Amino acid sequence: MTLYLGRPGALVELPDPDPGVTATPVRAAADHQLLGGGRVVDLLGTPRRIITASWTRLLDDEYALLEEFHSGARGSGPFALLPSAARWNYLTTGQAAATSATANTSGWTVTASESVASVSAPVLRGPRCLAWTVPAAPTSGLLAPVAPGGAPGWSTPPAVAWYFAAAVRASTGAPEVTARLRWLDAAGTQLSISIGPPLTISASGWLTAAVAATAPAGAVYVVPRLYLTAATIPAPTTVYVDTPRLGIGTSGSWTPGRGLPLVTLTDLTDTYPWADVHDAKAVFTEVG
Amino acid sequence: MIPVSPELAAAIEAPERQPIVRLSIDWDDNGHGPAGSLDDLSARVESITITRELAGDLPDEVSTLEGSAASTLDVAFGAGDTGTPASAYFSRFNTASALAGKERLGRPVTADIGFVTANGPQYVRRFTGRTDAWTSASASRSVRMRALDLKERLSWDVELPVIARGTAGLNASWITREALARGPLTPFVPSPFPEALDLFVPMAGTMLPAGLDVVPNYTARMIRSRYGFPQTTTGTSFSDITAEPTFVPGPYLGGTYAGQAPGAQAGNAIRGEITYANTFQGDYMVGRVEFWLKRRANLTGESASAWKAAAILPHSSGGAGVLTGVRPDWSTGFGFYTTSPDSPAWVQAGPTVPADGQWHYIGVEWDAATTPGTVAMTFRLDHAAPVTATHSWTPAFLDVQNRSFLFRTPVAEVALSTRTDFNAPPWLIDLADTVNCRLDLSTLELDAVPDPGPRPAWEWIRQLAAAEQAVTFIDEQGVFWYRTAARMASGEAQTIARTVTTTSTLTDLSTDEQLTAVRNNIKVTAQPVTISGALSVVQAVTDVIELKPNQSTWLYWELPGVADVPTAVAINRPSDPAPNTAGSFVCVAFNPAGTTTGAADENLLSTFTAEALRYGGATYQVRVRNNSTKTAYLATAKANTPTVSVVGRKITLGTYTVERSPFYAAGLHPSIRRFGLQRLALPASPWLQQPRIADSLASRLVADLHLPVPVLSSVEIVGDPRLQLGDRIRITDPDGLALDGHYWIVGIRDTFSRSGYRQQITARRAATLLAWDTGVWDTNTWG
Repeated sequence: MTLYLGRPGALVELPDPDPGVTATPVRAAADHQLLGGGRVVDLLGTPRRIITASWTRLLDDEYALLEEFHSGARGSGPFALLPSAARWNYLTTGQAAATSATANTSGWTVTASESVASVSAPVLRGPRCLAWTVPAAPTSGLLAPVAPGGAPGWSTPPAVAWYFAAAVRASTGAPEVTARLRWLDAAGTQLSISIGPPLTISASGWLTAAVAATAPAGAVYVVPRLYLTAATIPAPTTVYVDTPRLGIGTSGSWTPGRGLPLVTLTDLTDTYPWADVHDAKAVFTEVG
Repeated sequence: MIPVSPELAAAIEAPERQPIVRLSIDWDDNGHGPAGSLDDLSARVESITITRELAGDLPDEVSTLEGSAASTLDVAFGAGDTGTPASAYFSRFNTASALAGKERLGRPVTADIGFVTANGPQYVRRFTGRTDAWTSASASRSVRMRALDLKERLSWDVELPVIARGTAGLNASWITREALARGPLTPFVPSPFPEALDLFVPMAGTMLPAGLDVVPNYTARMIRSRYGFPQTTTGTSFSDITAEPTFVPGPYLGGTYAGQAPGAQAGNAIRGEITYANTFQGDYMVGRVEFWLKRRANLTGESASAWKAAAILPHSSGGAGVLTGVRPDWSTGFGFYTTSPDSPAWVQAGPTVPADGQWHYIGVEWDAATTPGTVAMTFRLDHAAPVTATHSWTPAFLDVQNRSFLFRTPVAEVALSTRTDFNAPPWLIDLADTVNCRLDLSTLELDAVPDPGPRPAWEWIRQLAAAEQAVTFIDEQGVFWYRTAARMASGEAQTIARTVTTTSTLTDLSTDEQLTAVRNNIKVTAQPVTISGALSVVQAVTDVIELKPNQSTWLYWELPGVADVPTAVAINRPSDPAPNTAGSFVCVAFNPAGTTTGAADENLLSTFTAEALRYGGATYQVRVRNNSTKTAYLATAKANTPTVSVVGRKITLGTYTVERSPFYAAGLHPSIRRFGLQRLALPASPWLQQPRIADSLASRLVADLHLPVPVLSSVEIVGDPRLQLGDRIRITDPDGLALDGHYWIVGIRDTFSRSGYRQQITARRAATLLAWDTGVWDTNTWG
C-alpha cells in the first residue's frame, strides 16, 4: 500500500506502514440522560477520523519525511491523506449517500436550467436518492459533486488511477449517460477529460455508469461528473442517481463516503531516536 | 411557541437527533449573505449560548407573567474548515484576513438552531441582535463574541410634553408608541386589540377613547402627518372636538365610525378628513399616498360614488384635481376629476382590498412628469407585487393646494408624499422596520403624563410594563412585543406549548421553597393625579431682558412644579392696563423702565409676537419676536406686575396606598398565624394612577402569595428551539418531585456545544387549567 500525504500538487509517498493501520471515525455525540431513565442523543456533524500508522526500522531519510510534516517544515496543514489501497469513497457522506444522509442536495451542482432534489422513490440503497431534472435538449446536462474545502477538485497523486461510478435510471425515455473524470492542473485549468462508455438508461431499472483512468502528467486535481447527451433527451427528464463513488483504483463497489481526509499530524513517536533506524508511530487527526 | 413544520417537530422530539447551528454576521450592513459567504460563520462556531430572561417587580412566586426581558448571544469561535485560527481570522490587526477593514462591533447578527429532518435541514431563528463585544486570546487561539438584542437600540432619549386631561381616554399605549416612533421602530399594529370593535380610533394616536361618541354616529380624530406638516381639522363635526384638547399626541392616526345599524345615515355623516394648510402648495406631478385601511361592511344608503379613503389633490384653479386611494367598490385607484372628486373624469383601478376585516396596507404612486402626456401609476396592496398602469394625461402641471385626506372607514398611518423633491423613497410596507412591533392595548388609563422625562425609550416602556404587569421583550426575530395581562388570558396563551416529562425531555428539575417567599401583607401604591381645574400663575418673573431689533429672543424658565401650560402668550404694552392672570403674557417696552415712549412706539410694540415653543412640564420656553428696528425690553413699570407671567394648570401626584392581607372571618388568617406577617410593598409608579387598579393588584397578589409555593429553580431539558418566553408548559415528574403542573416560561437559556443542544428553563407557576387527565381534579369531581 502507498500512503500519500501533502498539499495539492505536492503529495508525497510515505514509506509503507506496518500492518495494523487504524482509521477510527469518531462521531461527536452528546447524550441527555432523562430523569425517567431514557436517553436522547444529539449527533453533532459528520464523524472525523483518527488514523494511526506505525513503521519499524525506518531509515533516517524516511523518518525525516514524517518529521517534516510534524514539525511544520512542510508548511502549515491540513494535508490530504490518500491511502492507495484503501477502498475509500472520497465523496462526502452526503454526496455518497445520494441525499439519504441529510435529505438535502447540498454538495451537488447543476447548471441553472437544471435542478436537483432529494426524493424517496425510486431508491437503490438507503431511504432517498438524488433526482436530477433536465429540460429537453439541455445545453449542458452536467451533474457534479462539489469539491472539498473550496478546492477545484480532489487532490490526486501523479500517475494514480481513479474511478468514478454511480447507479442511474431515468424517469422516462432513453437518455444516454456517461461518467467522466476531469483532470485539472494546480490552477484548476482542465488538462484533459476521461470519458466512460456511454450508457443508455431507462425507467425500468438501475444501471451503473462508470469511468476509470489514470491521472495524466501534471494533474493535481480530479473532478468527477455525470454527463447527459442532449440529443437523447427530447423531453424534460429526471435522472435518478444513487450510490455514487469516487475512489483510487480501477473499480470498486459502493461504500459510504467519508470525504477526502484532510489531516494534521498531531503525534509522532520515535521509539529509538539515536539509532540509525527508527521505529515510528504517527497519529493523523482529520480536521475540517 | 414558534411554529415549525411537522418534520422539524418530529426531528426535535426524536430520541436520536442531528442538531445544527447557523450563525450570520452582516459585516457590511447590506443584508445577510447566503450560506458559504463571508457573513456565514456557521462552520466556525464551537459553542453558542442564548439567554433570555424576564425581570419584573414581582417575586417569582406569583402566578403572573410580567416583566421586561433582554437577551444575549455568546459564541465561541474556532478555526472551522479553514485552518486559520479564530484569533487571527477575527483580529482587527490582521490585514490579511478576509475581514480586514470590516467593523466588528454593532453588526447585525442572527443565530438559528436547526435539525436534519426527513426533508433536509430546517432551522428556527433563536436570536436577532447586534454584535456587542469581542474577546480574543492568542494563547488558546480562541475568540468569543457577545451580541445583544435590539433592546439595546431602544436607548434614544424621549421627552414627552406634560399632558393633563380632564377627561378620560389618555392611555399608556400612546406613550409606548411615541417612545418607539422616535427611533427606528415603527410601532404600527395592523391588528389592534381588541379586534371586535367597529368603531376604531387607535388609542395610541389620540388621547380620546375609542368609545367616545362626540357626535352621534360619528367619531373621527386627526393626527399629525408623518412629515410634520401643519394640519387643521375641518367640518362641522370636528368643531366639538378641536376645542379640546390643545395637544394632539399623534402620530399617524385617523378613525371613523363604521358600525351603524342597517338603514342608518351614511355617506358624509361618517366622513373624516385631514386637511393640510397651503404651506406646501406647488407642483405635484409625482407623488405617493400610503396608509392602512380596514374594510368595513357596506352601509344601507351609502353613496355609490364616494371613495372610501382618498387623498384629494385639487388644482389651485378650475375645479380639477386628482384623487387617489380606495374607490367606492373597495378597489385601489387613481382618478382625475374636472369638477368634483365624487365624479372623476377617469379612474384607473388597482387591486381590491379584501373583505376579511383585517388591516391592509394601501400604496398608490403617480408620475405624470417623466413621460409628458402620460401618467404612470403603481398600486401596492400589502406585500403583493406592485401593479402598474398608465393613462393619458393632459394637465401640464398640477398646482395643488388645500390637500386633504378623506376617509369613510378606519384608516391609520396616512403618509402622503407630494413634495417636489419626491424621489421614490422605499414603500413603507417594504421597510424592514415598518411592522416590527406588536403592541397590546395598555390597561393603564392615565389622567396625565406628569413626568415628561427625558428618559431612554426602553426605560419608558419598562416602567409602563411594570405598572400593569405586562410583558415586554424583543423576540427571536427582532420584533418588539408588549403583551398585557389580557393577552395572557387569551386562548392562545393558555394553550400548552409543550408537555415536559421525565420520559421525553426532562433531564433535571429542582425546586426552592422558603418562608420568606410567603407574602401575606401586600402594599400597592397608586399615584392619582390632581389637575387644578382653573388656570393659575405657575411662574412669574420680574427680570428685565433686552430684545434686539428684528430678532427673536428665546427665553427659558424652570417652573416650580409640573403644569400643563397653553401655548398662547399675550404681548402687554406699557399703555395697556395691568394684565390679569387669565393667560400667559410678557410685558414689552422700549426702555428698561417699562414706561411708555410715545404712541409711535406703542404701535411698533403691537407688531411684536410671542409664543410658547415648549410648554408644559417643569420647563417653559417662550420666543419673543421684536419686529421693529429698535432695541426693546421685557420690562414693566406697573406695580405688582411681573415682566413674564406663565399661566397653566398645576398637576400634582397624590398617594393612594392599599394594604391587603388575606381575609379570615375568625381572627388572624392562618397564613399570618403560621408564618408571621410577611410584607411585600411594590414601588410606587407615576403610571399607576387609578386606585381601582391598585386595589385589584393587591387583592390578586395576596391571593397568590399568602401560602407557600415552591418555585422551580432549575428545569433542564433536551433543547427545543420552538420554546419562547411566555409559553405555557406542563411539567410532569411523577417520581422525583411528584409534580404535575402548568408553568409560564420566564427565562430560557439555549446552549449548543459539544454537549449537545440543551436548554435551561426558568418557570413561574400558572393557574392550572381544568383539562381532562391533567391533575386529579376530574377524578375528585367525577370519580
